[in-house]
Amino acid sequence: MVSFPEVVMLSWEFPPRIIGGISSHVYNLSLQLARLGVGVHVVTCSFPGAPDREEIHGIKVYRTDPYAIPAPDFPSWVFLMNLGLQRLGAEILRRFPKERTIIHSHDWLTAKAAIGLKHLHRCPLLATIHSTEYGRQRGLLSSDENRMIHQTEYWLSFEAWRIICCSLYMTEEVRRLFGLPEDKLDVIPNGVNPEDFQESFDTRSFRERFAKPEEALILYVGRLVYEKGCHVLMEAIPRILHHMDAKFVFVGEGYMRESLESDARRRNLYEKVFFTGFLEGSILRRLYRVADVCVIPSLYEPFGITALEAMAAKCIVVASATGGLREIVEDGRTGIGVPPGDPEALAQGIIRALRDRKQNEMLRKNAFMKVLDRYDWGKIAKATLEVYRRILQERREIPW
Amino acid sequence: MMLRILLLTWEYPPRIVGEIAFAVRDLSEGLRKLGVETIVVTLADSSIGLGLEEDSEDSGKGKEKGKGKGSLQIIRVGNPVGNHIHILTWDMTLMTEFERVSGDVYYRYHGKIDLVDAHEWLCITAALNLQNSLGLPFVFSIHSTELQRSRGAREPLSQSIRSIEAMGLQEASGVIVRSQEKKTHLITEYGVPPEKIYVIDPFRAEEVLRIYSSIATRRMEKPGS
Repeated sequence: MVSFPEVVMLSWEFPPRIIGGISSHVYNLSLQLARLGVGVHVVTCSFPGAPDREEIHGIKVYRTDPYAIPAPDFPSWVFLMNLGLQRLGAEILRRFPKERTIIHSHDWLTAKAAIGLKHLHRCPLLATIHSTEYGRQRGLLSSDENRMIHQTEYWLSFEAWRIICCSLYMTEEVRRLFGLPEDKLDVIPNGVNPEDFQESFDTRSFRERFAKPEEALILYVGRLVYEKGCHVLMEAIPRILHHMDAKFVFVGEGYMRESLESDARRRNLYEKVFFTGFLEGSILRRLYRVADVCVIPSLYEPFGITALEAMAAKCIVVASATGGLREIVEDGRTGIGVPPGDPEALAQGIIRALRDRKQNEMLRKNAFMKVLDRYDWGKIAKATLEVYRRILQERREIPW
Repeated sequence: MMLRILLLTWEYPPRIVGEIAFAVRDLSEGLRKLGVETIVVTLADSSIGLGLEEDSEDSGKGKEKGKGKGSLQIIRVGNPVGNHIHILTWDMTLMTEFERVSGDVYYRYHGKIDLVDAHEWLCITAALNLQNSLGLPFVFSIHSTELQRSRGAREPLSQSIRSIEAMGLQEASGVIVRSQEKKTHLITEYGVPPEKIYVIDPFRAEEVLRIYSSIATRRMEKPGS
């Protein structure tokens, strides 16, 4: 009889607590793993209105108060929050036999609890590294805080039995930064649920909330921060408007919003640019459906979940050929790739996407097929279960 | 009953920051003479480096273990994360390393560890995790409190440390202090029940051992322990 593993999944965010992309990743992965028969125990932070313990579609969720101990700053808060995670993790691990139990940590944010549990319970630790401090800071580890986070990531990667990264690009970055052997890393991509983008609604009236019928609707989704390249898109806008009428919708928040808005006013583009702020998931999914092009002008992108969402909604993607994006958006096959940080090339890419209707059909079809083939959560969970099984097998064969 | 004790301290000679180093050294050596197997987990000093030192005063005494004599091992570890923003983050990563080596000791002795003695707030989170994961009871030995050191300051860092102390005081099986005045301070400022606090000045091994034995016996008598 094949016994299924029990996994203690440590994540600082899990729905309804959503801060970045880890929440949705952990939810979808856990859901599919539970469907495969894995005992999934998600240990995470509490959220107003969410119970301390609940079971959601077979996922057992345990929440701890992340503010139980007051913290003077964010990094201290992270480490103190780990005390609560570790307490709950210990409670779960004491109930299951070691030979089929695994600890799965997501990013440095849960490293302390994961490493402590590993050594006290002698259960193997698997880490998914979604992004690195080095990458987020664009290679400048200039403060003690940056260096501390970087070294904590190194510590996690050293202590982990194996490491999962979501793209080949991230695998190489993590391997190089932390000096890891190649055979310690697995590439398992992030996923998307295409069925979430199939809702029927009045597309015409919805579109009119964002753009006039004669304007092409060009969508940007992401944090308004430097690494996402939103300023490159702003630079490209006048060059596009020189050739065609369009409306540029920026979805997201970030420290660059104010400077982007003043830039739009200075260029007299205010009527052509719309900053929506954060949008609820259901509205965003509709927006992908009515947009003519989704632009991802990132300078650094470990994976590129926005590209997958756009592709699942059958929206044409114009993206920087950088990081994990290069693996998703293949120029001329599943979208249009442009060199990062080049406003002229970006403008030309967008114009090309809007003009070549024949090519667009082919890009849409290929992109959607690629989503079904490679980025399905069911397949991702099966690949993750294989990694769990491999680790547990190796663990059985060696003394601790 | 011969006990095996894990003693957690952030300073132990030759690493000397304050007087805790001497107090813990005297205690650990006194315990060894009384037949206790004492394992000290502490931070490495650059002059000695990482590793294990066994029966520090009398080399070869390990052979006498079979005769029921005590022993003293000192395990020195480094901090797995080198850069920090202040003592709190520094302590948080160091304590996970304390947990790693304490876990190794626990499994080496097949779980036969009777008690953990954590000195100062700095070692409390490791003691708590050892208790939660491995069921080891712990004693909290307090030399001074954050409230005394900071003279009541309400800076956020100080408040964090006070909260860690309060958590340790609540979860410890016993608290050892060196003066009646400190006992009163813990009762009035931290709300610790008086019967949980033991006053021993200095930390004389005979008296400390009496407290260890009483807590270890209580644990053994507790159903399901």
